[in-house]
Amino acid sequence: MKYLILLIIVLTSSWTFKIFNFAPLLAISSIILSALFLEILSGSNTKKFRLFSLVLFIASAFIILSYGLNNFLQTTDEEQYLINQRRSYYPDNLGRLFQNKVAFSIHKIEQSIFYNLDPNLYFFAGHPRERAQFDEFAKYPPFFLPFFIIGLIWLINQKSKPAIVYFAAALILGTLSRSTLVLGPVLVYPFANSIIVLGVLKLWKFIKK
Amino acid sequence: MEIYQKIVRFKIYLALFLILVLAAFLRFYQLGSLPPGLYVDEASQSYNAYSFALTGKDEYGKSLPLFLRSFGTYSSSLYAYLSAIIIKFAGLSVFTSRFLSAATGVAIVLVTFLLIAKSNLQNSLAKAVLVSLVVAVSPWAIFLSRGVYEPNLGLALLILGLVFLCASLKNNRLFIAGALILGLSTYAYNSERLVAPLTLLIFAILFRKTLLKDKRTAAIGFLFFLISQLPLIFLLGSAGPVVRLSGQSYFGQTFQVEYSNNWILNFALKSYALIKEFSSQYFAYFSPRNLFFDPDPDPQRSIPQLSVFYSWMIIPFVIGIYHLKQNFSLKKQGDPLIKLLFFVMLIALIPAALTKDPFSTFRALPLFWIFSIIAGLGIYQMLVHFRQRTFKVLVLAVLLLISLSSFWSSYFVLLKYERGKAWNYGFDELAVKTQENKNRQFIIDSSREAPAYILFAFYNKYDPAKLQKDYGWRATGNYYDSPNFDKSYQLDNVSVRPIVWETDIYLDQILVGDILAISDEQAKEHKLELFFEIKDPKGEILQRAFATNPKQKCQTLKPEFQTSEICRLILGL
Repeated sequence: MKYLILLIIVLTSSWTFKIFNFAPLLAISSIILSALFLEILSGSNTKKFRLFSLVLFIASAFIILSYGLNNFLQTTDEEQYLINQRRSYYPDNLGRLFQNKVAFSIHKIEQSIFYNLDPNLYFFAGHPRERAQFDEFAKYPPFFLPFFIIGLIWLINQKSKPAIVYFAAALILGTLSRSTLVLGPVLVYPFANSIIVLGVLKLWKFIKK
Repeated sequence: MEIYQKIVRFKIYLALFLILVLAAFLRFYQLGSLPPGLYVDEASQSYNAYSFALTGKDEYGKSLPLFLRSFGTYSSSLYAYLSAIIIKFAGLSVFTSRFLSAATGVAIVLVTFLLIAKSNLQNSLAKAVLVSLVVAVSPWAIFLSRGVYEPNLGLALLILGLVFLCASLKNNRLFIAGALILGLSTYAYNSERLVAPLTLLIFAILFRKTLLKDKRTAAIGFLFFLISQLPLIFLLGSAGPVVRLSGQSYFGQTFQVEYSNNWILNFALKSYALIKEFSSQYFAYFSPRNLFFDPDPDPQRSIPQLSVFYSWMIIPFVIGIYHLKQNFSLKKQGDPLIKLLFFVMLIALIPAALTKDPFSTFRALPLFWIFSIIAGLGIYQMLVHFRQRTFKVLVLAVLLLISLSSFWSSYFVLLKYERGKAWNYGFDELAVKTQENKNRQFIIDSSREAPAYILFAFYNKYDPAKLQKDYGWRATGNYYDSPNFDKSYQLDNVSVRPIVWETDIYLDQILVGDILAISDEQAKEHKLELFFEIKDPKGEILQRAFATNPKQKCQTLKPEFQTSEICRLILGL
């Protein structure tokens, strides 16, 4: 049953096809990773599963990182102008403390992390706050959102450590990789797929009760 | 033991006092000059308050209106009525106009403390201190308290209503007060017109057993609430009170869906598009990106480089959610306050999600307040894990320092320099110039600008009786059914209207507009002489005033045009 639901999600998600067009190998590995992650979250927490998932995760991470890393330390001329302009507003040279390259880099890292955490980016193509100059695409149909929420609540109740570790790692890699600009945080894909499946299953179980 | 408890209590109340002092400082410091300028909505509420204080009527001469007719829409009037008392005694100024909002902001901190302190939460006093500290320093709370914003007043009344409702679980009679305060909140801000009745309804459903123990009190409470809503119910049929919603909502817009001739399919597609739009708007308010990183897209409603919360707050926020999830239960054993706040959180977003503005901070204040509570409880959970008291204080001090320095940088420095135009910076100076040159006629271009007449009325303390006499007729007939707005006004020597280039340059007067309204080429072509410039703190020109030169203009015209009637008069031909 759960694999059938996973298959439906994979086939109805435009994210699958986007990744497939970009890097077929990455798409295949992400789909397999979705199934493995689903097994782990469902309780089949054997060493074999964990090890295989880890290997696949590392392989996917390498593929993603091979597309280049985001350089958060680099500033464009326009950004440097803004920093200099803003610096002049502060009294007693305090501008150097608040407006500098390090602060700007932290700002860009935060931006990348928070954008990857935006549910609207996954279900509504970033609407109502679409980003200028970005190819926004809805990764999942909006009607998957309720299932995602149910799955997420269930996961919070489970205090699932593998889920927390996986999500944190996927988020960090998504922040670092330049491919995120085009594909979104790819390694979140298996995580999101599994949660939606779990949401459907939990709701089904609740209705049957 | 008793002495120990007394010492703990003393420390708690000392901490509360210090938090209130900090909250007051953050809300009142430079209140008259920051935000830089005065937004037209602020000016409208304040001038109407001034008008109430002097004449008992609004700017159109309407006695005690339920909604203020304001620039083609209708805004809630409670702020103006309460502010009228302050303005009556302290005079009309930017500071006195914003005073009520700032005071309300401090009151929100206090009432939040009371709500948490009186709850059944474990260590409620310590939690109340941390929650009130989060509310005191949160960017959304300070920002909303530093402008003439009705939503802040609406939120304060909603929270006060919740305090009384929660207290009524122990003392039934307080339910009446809670219901009445919730009723009053519907006159403070539009969102509360939906949120307050739903809050009362949810309270009644959740705690029906307690309420039914004293049916008489419950009935009186509901009756009072209903009576308080009667004026609003009577006005439901008028265009005014609904014009704001219809103008802001997306229900009328065409969605990009393939419509066919099949009405069933058409209906289904439209419904799907509307549900999708509502969901996307609704969930935007739960997005960490919008809560902890991106500011409100409206430059007049946001602070540069700062969102509604500080970005570090995501950590205690997640911890707080996790902790509350463990303690949340819809069943009897769940904490009543947490249960109530959970449902208020869900309904508080409905008004915001029904409008097309992407992430409007104004319409989601109850949500941000509840999120502040969650973050405060999260901080408590974080600190509990540290054994050493000194370390706890140190962590809190570092977080406070990061927050306050970040706020200072964004609000007291960047906002001042970067948001002048959004806040109509310089109109006070312009008003002074018009007063200094009373013998000259000023034309203030209004073709693209906000309705500037209200700014001149405000800064020049224009006699409300005179304004009512001259322009009251614009709201004739049913006051609540005439939302049409004409931007053109003549206040003494100031005429607010679009510049008419065909005629205005042939009259001896001062033309005022921004760089787009009067370009250098136009000034050169029409022989306009720069009279003065108004710049923002950055040094960028906001407004330019040019004196016309009809004689020179006519002289430079081709001879066949010099003989036009107007030039013949000017040149004395």
